[in-house]
Amino acid sequence: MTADGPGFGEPEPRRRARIEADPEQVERGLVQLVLTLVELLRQLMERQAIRRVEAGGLEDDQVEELGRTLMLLDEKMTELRDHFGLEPEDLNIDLGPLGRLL
Amino acid sequence: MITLYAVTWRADAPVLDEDGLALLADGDLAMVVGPAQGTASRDDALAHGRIVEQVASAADVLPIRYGATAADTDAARALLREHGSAWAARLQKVEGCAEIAIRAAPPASEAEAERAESGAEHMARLVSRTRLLDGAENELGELLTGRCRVVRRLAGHEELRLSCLVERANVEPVRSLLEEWASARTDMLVTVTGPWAPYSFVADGEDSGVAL
Repeated sequence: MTADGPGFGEPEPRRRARIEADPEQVERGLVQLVLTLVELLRQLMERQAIRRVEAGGLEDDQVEELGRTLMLLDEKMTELRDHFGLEPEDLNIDLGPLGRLL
Repeated sequence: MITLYAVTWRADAPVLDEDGLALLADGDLAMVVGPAQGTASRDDALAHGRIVEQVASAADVLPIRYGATAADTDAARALLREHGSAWAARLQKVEGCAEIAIRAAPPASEAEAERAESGAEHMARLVSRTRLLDGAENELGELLTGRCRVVRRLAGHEELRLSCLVERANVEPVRSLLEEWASARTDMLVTVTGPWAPYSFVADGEDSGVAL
């Protein structure tokens, strides 16, 4: 089976997060891949922060700092996506049998 | 080049009304194929889904992702031969079932659409959303226990997405139950869709023969 061979999945078209060989698409493909990894890290940080806050024991200023950091990260990701014309659903990688990354 | 739509049992393969569609058989399995589609478009994707659902309404299927192609019918048959045992095992797992999908998300209130005024407020929103989604997942888990063959939470932490593999005889009761639950959750936007072909239950981490 080849890269365009059959894969089971959803009915709607799914953009595959692979780097295109077309030189005009290389930059977009690379940006998409890098931003996907950054988004993964951002979501992991967010989940960890939520767990820490829910566990209690953080001072108010620590919660404020965590929240502000996450808020800025969120805003920066939105800016970068907008800059490169990407939608939130573009920042994902299909791992085949393992499902999608995010 | 031909387009691949679905794999089904050879013995149950339905008669295909649509022009250009054909059944390729190998062993116990059959594959629904059709002429190559043009450039990817929303209409083509919808047409692909419609054909898969048409086959699924008459037989157990493994839906094949939109865009999957083979060079010709010989190549498609070779795929069936190569991956037949893995695909047959998967078909058995979804036999007699359809998929119902639930999507639940907190409504984006006008206030929350604006930037939080402080880090603490942003954090409070995140915690609140997580609690809401986790609570909904627990409720749905209890509601669906014993009524579905499998319930799977799909990725995504900003909303809750569950896919339920439901025996066809239970589809309507389960749908009704979910719609009742959805209408009671005035704090969330909930959509229940289906029955669909079992899209979320055909790739379960086993050897799929899928190269991406």
